[in-house]
Amino acid sequence: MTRFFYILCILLYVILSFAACRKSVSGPTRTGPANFTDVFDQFWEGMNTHYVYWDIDTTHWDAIYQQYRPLFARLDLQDAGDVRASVQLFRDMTKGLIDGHYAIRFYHSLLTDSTIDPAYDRKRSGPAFHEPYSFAGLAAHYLDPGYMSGYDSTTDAHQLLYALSGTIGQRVLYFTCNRMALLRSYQSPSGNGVRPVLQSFFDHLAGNSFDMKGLIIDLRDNGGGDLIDLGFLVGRIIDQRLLFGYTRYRNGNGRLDHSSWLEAAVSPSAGAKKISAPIIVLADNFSASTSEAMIMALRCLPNTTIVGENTWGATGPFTDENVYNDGPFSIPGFLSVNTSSVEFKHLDGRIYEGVGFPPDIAVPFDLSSINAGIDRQLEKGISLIK
Amino acid sequence: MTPLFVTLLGIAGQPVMAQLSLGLEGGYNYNYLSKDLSGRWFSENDGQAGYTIGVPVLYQCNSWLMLCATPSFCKKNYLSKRTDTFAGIYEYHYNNYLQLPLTARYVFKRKRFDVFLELGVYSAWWISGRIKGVAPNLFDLHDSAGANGQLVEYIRLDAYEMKYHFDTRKDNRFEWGWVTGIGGEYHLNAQYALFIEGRYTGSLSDRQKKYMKAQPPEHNHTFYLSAGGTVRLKTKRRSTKKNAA
Repeated sequence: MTRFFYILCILLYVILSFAACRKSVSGPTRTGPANFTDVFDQFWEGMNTHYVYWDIDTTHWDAIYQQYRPLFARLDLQDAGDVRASVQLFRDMTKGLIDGHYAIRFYHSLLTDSTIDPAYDRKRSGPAFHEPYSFAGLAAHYLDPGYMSGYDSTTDAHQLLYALSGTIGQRVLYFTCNRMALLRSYQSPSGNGVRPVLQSFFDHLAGNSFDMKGLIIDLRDNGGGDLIDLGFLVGRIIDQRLLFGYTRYRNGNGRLDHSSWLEAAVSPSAGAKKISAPIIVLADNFSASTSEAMIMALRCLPNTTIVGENTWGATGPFTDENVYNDGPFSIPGFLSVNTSSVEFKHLDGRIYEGVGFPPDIAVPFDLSSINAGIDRQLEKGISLIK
Repeated sequence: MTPLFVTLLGIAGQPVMAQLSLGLEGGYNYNYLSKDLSGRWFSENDGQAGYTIGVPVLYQCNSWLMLCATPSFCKKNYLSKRTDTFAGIYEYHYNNYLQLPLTARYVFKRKRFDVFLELGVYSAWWISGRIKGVAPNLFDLHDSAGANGQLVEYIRLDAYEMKYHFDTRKDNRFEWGWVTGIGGEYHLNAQYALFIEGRYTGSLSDRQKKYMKAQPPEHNHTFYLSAGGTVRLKTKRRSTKKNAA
């Protein structure tokens, strides 16, 4: 009897073991929420599986579950007052998240004017906060006659692309733009005002139009945009691959499931010419995303100096959710979350998300000087070019 | 515990021929990591082949029962991959373990050829790992003109291969679980024997430490096909004495 029982145990276990051998297959599971508990559960789980900074973010996401799920359970999805009140709950839950790209936008008809941006809320309440300022108009006063500027309205229906380039004292080449959509503008089949500015800038870089003693790339108040502009711009002034950091993404549903670090580098573009002269990069608190990546990449060149302020701290780029199964996600009919798709680590081994990349020479924003027509950050940059 | 207890009862009070054997075995294995992939677009985990080598130590309690310990080295590999539109993105995981299965083996003796079934437990230590894969790199982009002249961006796939770095917050390097197996042994003579065995180990421990609410579990399931030989080290006859009436 013992022997038969023993054999039966073995056979049963073998059968059960084979039954466990199923491939895990996948697919999206989010549906339109039936109630606020559903809204919370989908949001909490979406953050669990999609947010890439859980290894360094100090927000206690399990504690958030314990504290806020009961609060959401009391709300009625059919009640307009409750729907509006939910925005503050989302704001409270996410206020500590370090992701500089993080934002919640609402699809619900009652909430379309509401946006949650934890990084901006934190910065606005800080003592050193200043409103964003577009320096292009002030910088133009420093340029030699014959500088070029232009707009392109075709790259984005809501935001004009602006670029300005020229020389300073016939010795320094200057370039600025308000966001990153330069390659799209340059290759656009339709005419626009940015392409000739870029062409003039590239011609100065490549040719011998003047004795260039230095280059100033002004990325102040540039909130980023197309990541491909990193190679489009920086690739023109290097002659070999420039490694400037590493990225990794979420490769599982556990909050600490990450891939290995992949190299982040810029390759020289065709016809690129290495710039050996000093490169000054102007940065401020509103230099974000792709412009931040550009600043961090240029900083890895030995002849680059960063002047100005800490950047915004949105160093992890984002793309469609299905590329990495992380980053941006949405709750159908209610909200969408924008968040980084990859975590970025600079070549120096540090992660500047939420903190911002520091300048080599700090020159704070000075509104009184600006009102007097003086751009102290630009003047400092010019002074560094001998 | 019940099968083990009943087994021990079966041993007691029986005339016993105790024999110790030592062997060497090696073979192929196939490992699969069960892992929750819900919500992950076009993602799969596949099993991967590996190998195992071990030193079985067998203690024959009586004519039908043997206790076995097989300290061994084994690979527990697996593959994570994307499918459909994302085919070509993958990551191989090559993991090295030191493993110690402890089993009770029920033997059907047939002259020179025995058939056996075994059941037991095992423990293992995850020594090291290596990963090799291809992944999209957001900082490695190239562009081309689309059909309507608009710019189309492509994300290049970058290849990588590197040592796996353990994360002490999540990686549970100690593993334990169930073992079951079936095999056959051919006795060349009184001392030497050859065997072939199929075995399964299923981890009951999670491959990750508990660090979050609603944490998805991970378990290794490994199938082995091994062959080897044993040599009988000593023969000792003992029997229990019965009280005279």
